[in-house]
Amino acid sequence: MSLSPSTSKMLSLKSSDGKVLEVEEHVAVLCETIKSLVEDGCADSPIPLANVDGATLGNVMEWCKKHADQKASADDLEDWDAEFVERDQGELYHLIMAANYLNIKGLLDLICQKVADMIKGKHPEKIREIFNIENDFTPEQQEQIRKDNSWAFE
Amino acid sequence: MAPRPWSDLPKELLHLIFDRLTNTVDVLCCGAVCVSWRFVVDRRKRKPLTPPLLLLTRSDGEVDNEGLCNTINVFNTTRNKVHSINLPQTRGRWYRSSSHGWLLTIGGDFPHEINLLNPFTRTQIILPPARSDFATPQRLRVITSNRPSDPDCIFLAIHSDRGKLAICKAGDQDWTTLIITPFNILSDGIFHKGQFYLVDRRENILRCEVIGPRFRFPRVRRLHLETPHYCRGYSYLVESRSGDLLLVIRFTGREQQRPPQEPLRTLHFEVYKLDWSERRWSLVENLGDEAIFLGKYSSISVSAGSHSGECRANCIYFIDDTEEWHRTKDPRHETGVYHMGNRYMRIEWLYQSSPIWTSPLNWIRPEI
Repeated sequence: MSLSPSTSKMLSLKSSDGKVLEVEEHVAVLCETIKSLVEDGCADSPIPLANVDGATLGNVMEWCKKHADQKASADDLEDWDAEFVERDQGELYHLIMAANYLNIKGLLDLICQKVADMIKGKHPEKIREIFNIENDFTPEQQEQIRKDNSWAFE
Repeated sequence: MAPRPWSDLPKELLHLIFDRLTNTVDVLCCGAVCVSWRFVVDRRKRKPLTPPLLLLTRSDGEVDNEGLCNTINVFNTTRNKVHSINLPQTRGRWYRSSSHGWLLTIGGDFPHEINLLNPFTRTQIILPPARSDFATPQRLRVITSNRPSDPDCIFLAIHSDRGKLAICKAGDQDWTTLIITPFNILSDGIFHKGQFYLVDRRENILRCEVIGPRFRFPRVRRLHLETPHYCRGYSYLVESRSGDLLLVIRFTGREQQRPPQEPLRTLHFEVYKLDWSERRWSLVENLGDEAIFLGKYSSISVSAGSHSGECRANCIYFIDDTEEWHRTKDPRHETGVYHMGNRYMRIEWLYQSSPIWTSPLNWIRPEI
């Protein structure tokens, strides 16, 4: 089956909060999850995506649209991606979960790299602050970590 | 939205993120964030991390006399920082780097205990003690065929640069002596493609045949290869990322009109690749994407591209590892970066009067 832009039709995607998004098929099939539904002929209309909210689905499809554009050069995509991931941790969290659920390797790699870059060079305390993580170690665990690895944080 | 989404991120996603961290410090920091992150960090597949850390040893000949020193110091070259690692296992012992990011620690009293210690996971392997024929236990080097915790690991001890070698396997009660005849002063050694190789000061390559059934009848053979220079510099063996055996020669000299008591300076480097079929060394002009961290018995080649910002491609990072220098008690230590393309050399003198700097430096590449 051909998925080239000229033959592409529109797919309806329905987010967890009930928003429906019309997306060109050749864009939506960048999501492996959707692609297999389409290929197996089980793509209901609209396709329900129970784990992705409307705002995140919009962001994901924006990424897919850019990456489905065959005219975009590698440099152009790289710059565009760098801008795309400039988001707060809340949005990045929803994107990483969506990229995982929809099985979009390129987007998943991009977000994971962004998160890794945000971690680099930071102390545990700072990492918790950035990602809004609670320190849930017991005092004993905390002491063990301090004894073993404090050289890395001090 | 979950109250603490990043702690509860699916484990496979945390793995994907942590796999992108190449600096030891970053990995350890993630393990100290929260319980679920620690769980994932502890269960990562162990892999070598770059860039290597510079292991600062205590002064040769001083076994931390008071026995109070519980720490070792490593220098993180890319973050320009000295870290003190709390390691009571090194108290009262000499130590230096071994293979796979492990430390060799040597007890101060006869019979000298010999252990291998992973300073980042604290796993320890006990080797047979040094025998009375181990000339200078504080200078002992041990290179390994596998990760030291691997039950099939073979340990090669170089207990004197004058060609004194011994081998053992995990669980052995004693060392088996290896005889080299004739020998020159050894310069460096490496485990490469299933064999131990040594290079002497005259660029002769020796192969220690100790693997498999040979273990019971070990022998050292000299490979008959054309030597590029014959005794004009310090030689090192390095395995390239693509699995070639490299010979790196460091040329040293003294600048004109400098007093003779000044230490020799590194002037330039040459790199050769062993062509097994022609049995000769061919000159390597360019290291491509690789960066070599050069140091006696601890050289490592890494891919600079996949660790952007941490080290530069086509460069040799070198350190003062000459045994002679510590005798002068000169607090200056030459470290630097040599670019193979434009032959530009950047020397950074490390000044440090503390005894930790007055012995050879080693690279240590953590595997955590």
